[in-house]
Amino acid sequence: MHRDECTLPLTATERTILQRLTDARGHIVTYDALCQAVWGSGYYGYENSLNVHIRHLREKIEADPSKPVWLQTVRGIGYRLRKEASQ
Amino acid sequence: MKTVSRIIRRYISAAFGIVVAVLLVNAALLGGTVVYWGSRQNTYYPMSRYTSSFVRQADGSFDTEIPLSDTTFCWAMLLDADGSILWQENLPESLNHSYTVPEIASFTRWYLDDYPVMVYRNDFGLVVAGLPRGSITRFDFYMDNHLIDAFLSGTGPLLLLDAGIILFFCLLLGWKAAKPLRDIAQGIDRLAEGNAVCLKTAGSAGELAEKLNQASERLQAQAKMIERRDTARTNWIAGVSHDIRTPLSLIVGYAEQLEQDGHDAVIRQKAASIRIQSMKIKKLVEDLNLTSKLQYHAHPLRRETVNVGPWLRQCLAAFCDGLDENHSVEICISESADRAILKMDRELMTRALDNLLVNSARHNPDGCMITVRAEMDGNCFKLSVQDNGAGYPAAVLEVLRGAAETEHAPHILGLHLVHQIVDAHHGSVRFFNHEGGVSEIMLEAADSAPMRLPT
Repeated sequence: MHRDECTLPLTATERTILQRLTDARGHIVTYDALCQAVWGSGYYGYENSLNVHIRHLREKIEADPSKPVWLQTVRGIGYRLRKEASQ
Repeated sequence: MKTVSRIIRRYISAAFGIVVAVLLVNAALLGGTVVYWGSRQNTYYPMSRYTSSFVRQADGSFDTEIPLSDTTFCWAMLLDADGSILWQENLPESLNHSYTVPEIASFTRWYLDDYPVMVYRNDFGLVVAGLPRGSITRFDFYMDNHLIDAFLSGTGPLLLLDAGIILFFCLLLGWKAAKPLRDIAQGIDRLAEGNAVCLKTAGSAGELAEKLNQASERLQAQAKMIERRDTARTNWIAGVSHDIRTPLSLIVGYAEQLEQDGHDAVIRQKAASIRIQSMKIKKLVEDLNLTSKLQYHAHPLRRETVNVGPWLRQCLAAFCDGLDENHSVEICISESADRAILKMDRELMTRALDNLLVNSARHNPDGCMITVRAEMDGNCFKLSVQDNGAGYPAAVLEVLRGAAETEHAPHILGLHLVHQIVDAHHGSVRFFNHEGGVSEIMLEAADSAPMRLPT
């Protein structure tokens, strides 16, 4: 992933999550869809792991990870990647 | 049909009762008449009493302590052993003579000069008292004692036999009357179940059977007509919906294009408005089509196993995507509800939930918070959609609770559809106001008896 002319390495899980969000850019992707993309159909119980990976992704793509602009949380439902972040 | 059996039993009981009552009344009347006439002294004064009232005077003449005028006799005489008259009172001149033994034997049995006479012995001789001519009739009647014994001993069994014969014929007539009625009753049962009826029109209930056959034919014809009409209506609505989709898609597509590519802000805004309204029309047409199919059972349920948590989040994600900033959504799913599994038509239930969410947003244009709660109540899944907006108008709640829709009633197609979809799943839904509008859906989490919300 490139940001500010820097190349940031992503783990396979982070890449999968980001790819899934990018494919549905501008739209909400549920926790379930993200977990399924990463861990397959037996994903129950991995929500906390997902949150951890989302935090790591924010640390890489957000200027202020504690106040995310691009990778938005839709509480209780999932996450959304703002459209411009697909660049 | 139990009613027919009851009628027949009552008919037989009534017939038997009437016959027995008539017999008893006749017996009572006969007995009463005999007793009454027997107690009257107008025709037959007790001869023994009169005869014992004779007294011999000191001079050897006779007299009676009971005057003749106190009796029913018109004349009387006292005969000695030779047939000579010892005493007489009011004796007609033609009878004032002595009598021989054969004469006495004759008038004792029959009449004396057409006068019916009563004859009784006393200490002084034979008292002969005459009744008025034509007052009584004498019969040459005697009865064998064996016959009397047989009559007395046979009366009880005879009465029982009579009762048995009466009951038998009542049952026989009742059975004969019941048979055509049972056929009629079975025909009515079949008619009530919506089946065709074709009864034999012969016999006492033939006219009734004929009318029933006619009613059946008419109902079957009406049912076929209704089915044809429903099918035609469903097909028409589906056809119109299909025909509308294409031009709508065109409008939406061009509006999106103008919205994205238009340079003028006003044009872009108008294009956005066209797109939004077109989507509303599209949804309305889809709802109309679906409600029509559900109403006429033309849309079979395609049940599948659905995990509640992912399904709910997916529905809300789709809804929130198009939500403006004035509206927000909060979701509260209990752990048990999140892991619950429902057998439902995913597409239809998604539509139902979407209708509830859109309804809350649309009727609170200035904004509101929509809260979606999901929890398990035993084996039942309970889903509620609540907003903190204006709530349901009273007129809407009335219609939703089953009041007849009038011309001015609010059009609530979307909520009607929710009702139909939940009903099709054998669930229940209710709408009420509580700090805003609330709609609650209850569904069974497994294939068992449906649950109902308290009303």
